[in-house]
Amino acid sequence: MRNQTYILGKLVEITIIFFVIMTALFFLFRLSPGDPISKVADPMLTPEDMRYIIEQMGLDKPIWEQYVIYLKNFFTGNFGVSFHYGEPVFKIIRERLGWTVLLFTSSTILAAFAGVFLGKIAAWNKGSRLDNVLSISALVCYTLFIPWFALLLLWVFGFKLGLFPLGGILSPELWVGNASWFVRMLDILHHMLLPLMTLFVIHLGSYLLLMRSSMLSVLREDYIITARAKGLSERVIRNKHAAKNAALPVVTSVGLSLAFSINGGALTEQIFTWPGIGRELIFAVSNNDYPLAQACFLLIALVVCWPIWLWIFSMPIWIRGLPIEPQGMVLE
Amino acid sequence: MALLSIKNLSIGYQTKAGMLKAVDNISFELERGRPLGFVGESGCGKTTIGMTLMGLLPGNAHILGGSIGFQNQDLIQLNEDQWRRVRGKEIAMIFQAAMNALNPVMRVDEQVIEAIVTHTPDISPADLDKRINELFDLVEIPRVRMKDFPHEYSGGMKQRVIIAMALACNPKLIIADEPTTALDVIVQDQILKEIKAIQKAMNTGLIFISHDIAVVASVCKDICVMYGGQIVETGTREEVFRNPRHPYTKALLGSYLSLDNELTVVIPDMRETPDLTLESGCCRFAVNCKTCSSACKAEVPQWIDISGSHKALCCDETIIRNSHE
Ligand SMILES: Nc1ncnc2c1ncn2[C@@H]1O[C@H](COP(=O)(O)OP(=O)(O)OP(=O)(O)O)[C@@H](O)[C@H]1O
Ligand SMILES: [Mg+2]
Repeated sequence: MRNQTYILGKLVEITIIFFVIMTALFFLFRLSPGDPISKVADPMLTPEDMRYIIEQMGLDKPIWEQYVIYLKNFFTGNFGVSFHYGEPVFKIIRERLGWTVLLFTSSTILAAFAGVFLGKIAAWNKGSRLDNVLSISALVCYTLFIPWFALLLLWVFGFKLGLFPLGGILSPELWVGNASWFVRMLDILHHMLLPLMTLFVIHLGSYLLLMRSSMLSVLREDYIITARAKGLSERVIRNKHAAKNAALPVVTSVGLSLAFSINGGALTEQIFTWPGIGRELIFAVSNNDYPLAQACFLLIALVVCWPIWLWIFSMPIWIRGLPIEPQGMVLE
Repeated sequence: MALLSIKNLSIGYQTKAGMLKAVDNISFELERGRPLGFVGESGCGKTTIGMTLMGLLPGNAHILGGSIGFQNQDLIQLNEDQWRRVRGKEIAMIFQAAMNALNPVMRVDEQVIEAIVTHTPDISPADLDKRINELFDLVEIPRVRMKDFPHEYSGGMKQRVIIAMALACNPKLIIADEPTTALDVIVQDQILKEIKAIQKAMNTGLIFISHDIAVVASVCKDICVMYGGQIVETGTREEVFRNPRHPYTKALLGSYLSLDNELTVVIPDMRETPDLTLESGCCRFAVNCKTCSSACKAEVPQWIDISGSHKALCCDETIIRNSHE
């Protein structure tokens, strides 16, 4: 029963958070310089489209009325039409989201697995040459400046060696024609490799260091001595008893970084012209495309709250079903 | 023949201050039916002895000398592989800090099962099941709670699981290192009773470590009093309790626990901590000894027999002999 009250409290909390975010978004964009109506006057739009947009958002009305319209639109699931594209924002986001998720999720998860594995080995061989090499490399990865590293990769592998395309997701010749889905998939992978590499390397360092320090502290725990006292082999102690506990902070950290997937990969997306949400967000903000930018930010807010959603909807499953410390899942 | 026979064992920790002789030249024997208790204040080397018997000393620890005879072998000579076969199977240990001694991400029964399976990999599922139920019955944990995670257990239940784990492979020797220190008095009492009953029923060897001489006396037939890494007095519990001879034993019997329940024993007029970097063999108690003479600081203390099993370590025979009031 206490749990139900707690969950209810959380839901109220989330609602309030969203309301505040939405209000802030609305006014922030109205404060930014530039006249929206002139922005709407994109030569690509027909006059009917323009009138439709202006009417829909009440751009010719006083600001508080615009605010009410904005809230009403939002709660009826109407995110509006992009100034620039003249298409429903919802549709644009749906198209971009998949690409971002593909790139960011796969790189984060790969980096997490590699980081856990290497961090475990580094901690287990603490003070050895291997540990030093791994730790220093991780530190270098961690402090890399993303744009610089991305451009370097692009320059070396894309431009000099010509091994990879310079941007985009699909080779032009495959846009048309009837290449099989397999060929398309390979081509996408080919395009994805450099941005994936960038994000992978950037994340790897922090996961490795996190796992290493977490593992070192776990190795000092009493239950590790208990495990030794049972006569278990070192391999079992390392993998079953130590690494599983030590990986918990990494799991949390992966969760949190997934929450930042939308904006976190924005620079990388921009450099590799990867058609994801992050790139769209940069574009929308720099072009005063209110509806699109607002929706992007709302999406970020929604995603950042994901651990709370997860916690609310799957708590019973987490506690009973996963090989991960149940206490670790209790947020707050 | 004694189950365990330790001769002139010395263990040092390499530290910045030099070699810390945490255990200095101790010898004792242990019989199956006669639980042996170690008592002494915090830092006197009790856990170090236990860890040595498990082959689990930390990296900076060195065995400086002596031998540990156990079942016709000298444990000091074992390599890591041989140790692994002794740990849990022949010698098991119940640890001091029960609160974190269980792995938080594993179900409780799995952790006990693991102890069995490691040493008897070809046990049949049915036998394993039977054994697990037996063990949980023995330590009085309801079977419905077997599949819980450690955080769902109380401190007393965790300690019981640790005991079950130690018993899992029917070890010949159990080392209980302050098994009840973290528990309240009532649970402490239950656990002590259980340990005693189990020891009797299974006739295992038992080394019982505590800073509380009353607890040790309730479980053990023989007692070793330790100070600064040395055994200073040993005898049956009646001898040591009724007729303490060493000045430290006397102080210990007159001591009380400080109110904030620190593990340190507060002893009137004992301010100095023993210097463990001293040369091996010196009297470590001299700094705090009220009857100490100048000879004590120069000479090497000798064992002085009081009766067959009762003896004390001191430089001054007259102090020991005449101290019975
Ligand atoms: N890893 C270590 N490195 C250096 N010194 C150590 C180490 N472990 C223990 N010591 C020292 O060895 C001495 C004996 O420690 P030990 O843990 O055996 O004491 P204890 O009798 O078990 O004390 P307590 O009652 O507090 O558990 C202490 O002075 C302690 O400071
Ligand atoms: Mg101890």
